[in-house]
Amino acid sequence: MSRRAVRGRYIAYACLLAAVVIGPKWLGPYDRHVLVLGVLNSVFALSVNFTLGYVGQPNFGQALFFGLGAYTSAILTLRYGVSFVTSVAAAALVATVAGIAFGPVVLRLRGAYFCMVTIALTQAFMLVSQNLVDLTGGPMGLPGIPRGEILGLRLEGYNFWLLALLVLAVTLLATWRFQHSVVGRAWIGMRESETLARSVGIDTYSYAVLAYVIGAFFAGVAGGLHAHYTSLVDPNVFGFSWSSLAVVATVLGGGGTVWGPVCGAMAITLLPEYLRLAEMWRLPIFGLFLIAVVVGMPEGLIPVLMKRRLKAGPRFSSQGG
Amino acid sequence: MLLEVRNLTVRFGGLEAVKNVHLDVFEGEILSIIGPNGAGKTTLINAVTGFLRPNGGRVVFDGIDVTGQSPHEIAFRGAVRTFQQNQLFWKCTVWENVVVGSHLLWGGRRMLRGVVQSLLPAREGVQAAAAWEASREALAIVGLNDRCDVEARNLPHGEQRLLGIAIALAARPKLLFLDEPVGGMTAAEAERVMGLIGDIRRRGVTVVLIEHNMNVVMRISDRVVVLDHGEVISQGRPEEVQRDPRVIEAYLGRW
Repeated sequence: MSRRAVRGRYIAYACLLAAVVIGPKWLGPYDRHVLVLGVLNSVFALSVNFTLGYVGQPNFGQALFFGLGAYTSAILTLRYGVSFVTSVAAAALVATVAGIAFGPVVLRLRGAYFCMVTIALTQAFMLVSQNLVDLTGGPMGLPGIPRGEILGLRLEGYNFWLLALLVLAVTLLATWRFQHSVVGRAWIGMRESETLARSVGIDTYSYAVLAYVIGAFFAGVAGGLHAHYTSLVDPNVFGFSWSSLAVVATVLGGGGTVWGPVCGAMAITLLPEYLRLAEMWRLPIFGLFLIAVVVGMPEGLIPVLMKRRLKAGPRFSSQGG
Repeated sequence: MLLEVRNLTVRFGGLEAVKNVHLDVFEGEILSIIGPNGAGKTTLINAVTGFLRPNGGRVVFDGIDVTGQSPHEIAFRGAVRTFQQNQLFWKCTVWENVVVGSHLLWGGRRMLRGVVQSLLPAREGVQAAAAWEASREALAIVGLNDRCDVEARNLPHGEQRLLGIAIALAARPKLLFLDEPVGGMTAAEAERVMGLIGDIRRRGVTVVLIEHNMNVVMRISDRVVVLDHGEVISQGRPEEVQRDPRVIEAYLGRW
């Protein structure tokens, strides 16, 4: 590619970025609301991407960390009146600690067994949240969580969009850095052949636990933000549908890529909302879309759209993006 | 002595796949382990490289008792293997395959340090330069350096076997176990691999070659160990082993 074409490309990227950052300022509250949810779901999908996309283990229990994060920030905010930043940081911390506690156990297993245990753990936490009424408010959940503020800025409307974007950017950056490092290569190696990975010195068990814990951290952040944004937490945050949302988004967009989970999360958040225009056909159209992608692009949207490879220079990527 | 195997025993239920095996590997040599199909050659290698936990005996590598350690720990000590049933990082390119193979040279053993390094914006250091070089060299040795951008699953069989060797070489082993590296190859390809094994040894890597076809290994081996029904039935220089009546019997049967 010529120098000029490269420069043109960067200008195009910069314009796109500016449009994404500033554009929602002029959108209606409903459209902006859907976009914010899409971004939060993207962070959540990126969090499951570490185990699901890179390590290649079917993690259907990511809602565990999302829910822990959401409840942590709800309880701290409502009961103890801590600030927004503190409550989200605590959400991330609690989720990470849970990841460190459960990871070494669940990753003794692989494949379908791993999958079942992750689901079971999440269900257990759902029961706890339903029955520990004093702390969690039981089945009614905890309503009325304030949006909060950062440095005196109220996180309403456009401000929350900026915050959500910032968190997404950090998550994307971390994913990208990991993918292009010895850590990401160890994950991809064990996904492609765990036996071979072990034979060249990769401690696959530890690296899998690492992916699980990193995913827990980002899921905790997503959960904490979600609690503040929607102002309500109830036991459904531990639901199977939440876990599978992250999985479907990641698989749809392309697991083991940086942009795939974002692409997928945006698609499954925005499509059903805007298909309300044709209420009757909303779910059938969405279902057909999912089937079409799975059949036509089994590796996901991103790897098909942009296939990028590690050239024999100093870069490494699994399958694009 | 680079590797000492003492009284190694592996049982699968009632079957003793490896019985009381005694084996020494000296630095810089090419040692072949041969034997008819089912003699326990691969089981022996699995037990030595940590893929199977032996039921008895000891494995000492480079002065350290590694019996029962995990494969990644044994790889860290410097003993790396290839697989009879070829294992590759299938959906990765040839180049990506060898770069993953050089995991340890990237400091992959110190995982948390790797996490910090990957998150902090730092320039690639001396370590990275050495690791890239190991990958390039590994591909050059097996002659796949012009196939960098091909996905492993799209390579022809012979090149897939070569890539398996390159991945192991990228880890810069002291001792390399090759489990039937010429399996399924044409005669010309097999000839090339035998030359390649000589090259590998010349670079200071000790090679243990596992093979069921006796003729293949006779020319290049310094010593040969013959395994049958899990036991060492003969060992020594190739021509000695070839004349040993027990070996002839194991291969051809009694008449």
